[in-house]
Amino acid sequence: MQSAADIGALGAGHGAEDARGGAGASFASPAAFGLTCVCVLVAAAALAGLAPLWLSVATVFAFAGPHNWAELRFFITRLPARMGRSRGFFVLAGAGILGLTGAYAALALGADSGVWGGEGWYAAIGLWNSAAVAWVVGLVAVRGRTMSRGGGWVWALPVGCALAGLGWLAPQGFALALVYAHPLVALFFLDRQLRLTRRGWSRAYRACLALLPVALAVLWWRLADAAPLAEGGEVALRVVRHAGAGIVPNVSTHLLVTTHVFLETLHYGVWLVGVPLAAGVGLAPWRAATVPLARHRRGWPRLIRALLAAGGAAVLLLWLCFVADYATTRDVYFTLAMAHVLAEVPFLLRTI
Amino acid sequence: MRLFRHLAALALLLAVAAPAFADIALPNSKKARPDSEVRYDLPFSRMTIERVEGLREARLQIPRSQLERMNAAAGIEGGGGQSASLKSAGTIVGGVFISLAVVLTGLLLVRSRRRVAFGRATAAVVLCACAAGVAAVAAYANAPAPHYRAQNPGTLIKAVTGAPLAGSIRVEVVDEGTEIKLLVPAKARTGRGDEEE
Repeated sequence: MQSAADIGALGAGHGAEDARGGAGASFASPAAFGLTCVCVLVAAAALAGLAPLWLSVATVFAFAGPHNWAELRFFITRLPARMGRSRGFFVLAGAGILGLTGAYAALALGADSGVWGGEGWYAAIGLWNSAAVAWVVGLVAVRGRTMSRGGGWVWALPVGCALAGLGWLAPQGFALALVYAHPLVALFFLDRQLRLTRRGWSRAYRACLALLPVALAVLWWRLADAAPLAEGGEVALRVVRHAGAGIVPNVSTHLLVTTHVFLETLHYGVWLVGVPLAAGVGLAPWRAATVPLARHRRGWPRLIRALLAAGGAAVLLLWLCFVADYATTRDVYFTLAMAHVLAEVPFLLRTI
Repeated sequence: MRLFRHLAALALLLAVAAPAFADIALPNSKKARPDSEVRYDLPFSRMTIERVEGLREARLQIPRSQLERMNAAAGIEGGGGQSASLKSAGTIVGGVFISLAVVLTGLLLVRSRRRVAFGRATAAVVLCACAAGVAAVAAYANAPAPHYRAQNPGTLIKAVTGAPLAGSIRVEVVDEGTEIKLLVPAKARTGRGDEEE
């Protein structure tokens, strides 16, 4: 099985080799990179605080599709050419992503049609939460057993039980926690990528990460007393609902939407700019030649190119649907986007 | 021996007095609250008053989520017997999982051959667990929300400038949204259904 470092180096393609060689890494100093990160963070926080609805509508419209495509490319890049002992891990990962996304979509459909009623919905969400936790624990176990060092994975069992318990006690809160925690995972991926390919930037990046809680604290302090956002129109209603209004009582919807859109903006920025730049494919991420599975003699270059092309077509289709009916498309997108939230889990485990 | 007798007498006195005082009603602490008081204990919501063209009667729309919160604040249990049993079943399952987590953690700690190093990370985890426990206890004990939030009536103060406005409304519970809406017909109607300016 390839180590995380090997996979990272392969995944970064030629750009990473250049970066390690030193020639390509010097095009921006760590200070310039850090300063850019701080500017992005401050600008995102300011825009999210001042115009949360507008920023949410604009960022989801513009970046939701492309960032999924960027994640798809990143994950394809990290797939080993030969599965070897990891076959079971990837089979379980794929089955979980498909099954849980399908179940999540069915839950959304059921909720809209009112089939279950309030308490049936409560139980269904609790079951889905438990299934998701069991899947993650299963992945940790499979991954832990294939690794030679340590048996630390067994600690995933009590942690998983505790999470499943919380998933039953506050089912909707658990799902909302996923919504807010998911953007932070991207920050971890970027950290790992920087450690692999641009070590010089890593310290500056971590210093910027320390500013994230400060920015959140400032937003919460300033917006704690803010009047709730006006829910005039379908779009505003969707934005407020996706941020958790109705689930978190006695918290201003302005504060909720601001926090959500701030984290989402950082998430999009990381996947669309940060990770490709760090991996050395920032200028031409669509080129399949830098993907190991396309370059390897036992790889599948046609399949990879077809996947990337299909992803691009899906992005165009999403934009067209947004133009046709933004509110409905946003609902559908946030339901199906659970797939990319889940897809991050196995790749996250492989980087640890 | 003398101390023992004193303590025994005190215990007897308490045992006799407790049931007697338990029958005494609590002093009536309900006093009229001044209008200027900020009621942090009441549920918080947003309300809009809209003038709707073509609407035949005034309608107050209350989102279901708000209604559930109001019911909870008023001490009214929501749902029927089946829904209550489903909810308690969820609580039981959650409790079983958390108990399993505690038991498994204990077993793993006992079986661990290495000595557990109580370093900074362990201290941080213990601190987080304690903080989460305290927060959970406060939440389940229905502790009041922190008093940091002022309620802003916004432009609603312009709705009534002089004499009170009155009229009948229909109360409707809606599934969508989180804000309460008072929909007012754009034009009044006569008893025959004709519109009046």
